[in-house]
Amino acid sequence: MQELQDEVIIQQVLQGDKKAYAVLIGRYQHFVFTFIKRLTNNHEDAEELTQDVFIKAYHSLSSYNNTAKFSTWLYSIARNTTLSHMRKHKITTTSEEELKINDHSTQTDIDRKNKTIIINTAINQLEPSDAQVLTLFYLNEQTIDEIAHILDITKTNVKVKLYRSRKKLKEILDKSYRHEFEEYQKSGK
Amino acid sequence: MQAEDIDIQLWAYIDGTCTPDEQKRVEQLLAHDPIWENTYEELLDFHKTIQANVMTEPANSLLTDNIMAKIEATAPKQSTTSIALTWGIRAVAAFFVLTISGLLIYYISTADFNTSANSLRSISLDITIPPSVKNALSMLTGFTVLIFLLVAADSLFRKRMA
Repeated sequence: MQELQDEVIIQQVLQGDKKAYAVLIGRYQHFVFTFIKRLTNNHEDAEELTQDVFIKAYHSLSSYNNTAKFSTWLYSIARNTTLSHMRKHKITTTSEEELKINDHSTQTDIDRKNKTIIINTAINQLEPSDAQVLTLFYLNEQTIDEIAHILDITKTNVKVKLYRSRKKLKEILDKSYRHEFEEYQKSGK
Repeated sequence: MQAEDIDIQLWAYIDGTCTPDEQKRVEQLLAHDPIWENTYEELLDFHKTIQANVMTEPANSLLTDNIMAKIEATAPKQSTTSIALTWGIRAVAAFFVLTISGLLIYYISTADFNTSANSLRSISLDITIPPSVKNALSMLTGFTVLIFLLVAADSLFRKRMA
């Protein structure tokens, strides 16, 4: 069965079918959660903020116009809500110093011989702003234009950030997980 | 050209963000320059690896339920007060409709429609609206406006409650 388009569901919700909103939550909750988690580096905060984002989006649904994708609109709310929470609670993004490549990965890390886990662990070691851009581009499948809209920066800035974050990710992979990663590249897993 | 410049141009090529001219230039370099070709293969492989492996982190399985419960709790439900208000507006509207109808029937039944006309000409000239009917008509206009306002208020109220 073909999935209903976001816009159709939004219309249903606006016409009073509150339960239809659960479909949108189910569709985007993991993406929103991951996006926020990579900004806050805190699981509990990310869950709480994910809830806030969906509630805010629900109450603002009538103001959503189809000029941008629903997901782009939702990630904008997610970003603003998270930044506002971080400002309110005086949480700063983890400094680059703290996020320096860990040359001494724990045995548990090394034991997790799985390319997916390695990639995602490496992304989590990035500076939140870098992880954010990579997550939006690769996971949330947003275009450069859409990322520029979400982050409220220029397209050129998005390209620069994307370039830098990929470079840093590659550095982390080369330095901390090269052995495991090459093994997987060879085995083609 | 420095390695970083090559990387930047190749990423733009992979992401599909170059201009047609830049694209042509990169394609020419890829066809003739082994450094460009090797770097491209490496970056494309890295790009595909991220694309294929980046994944969401599992959120709480009860997240949807929690959000829906919060929405239910925060959504403006039609409270007892608002229900009473809606019915109040309806009752007031019904009262006015009944009053207008009653008054109209009363005034029309007590109105003096007799004229002293003996000819067609005099009939056409002597017709006057009895004061009681005039009163009824002005009251009717007033009540119509009032009912219109009540209906508009009710509609606005319902929209706010939705």
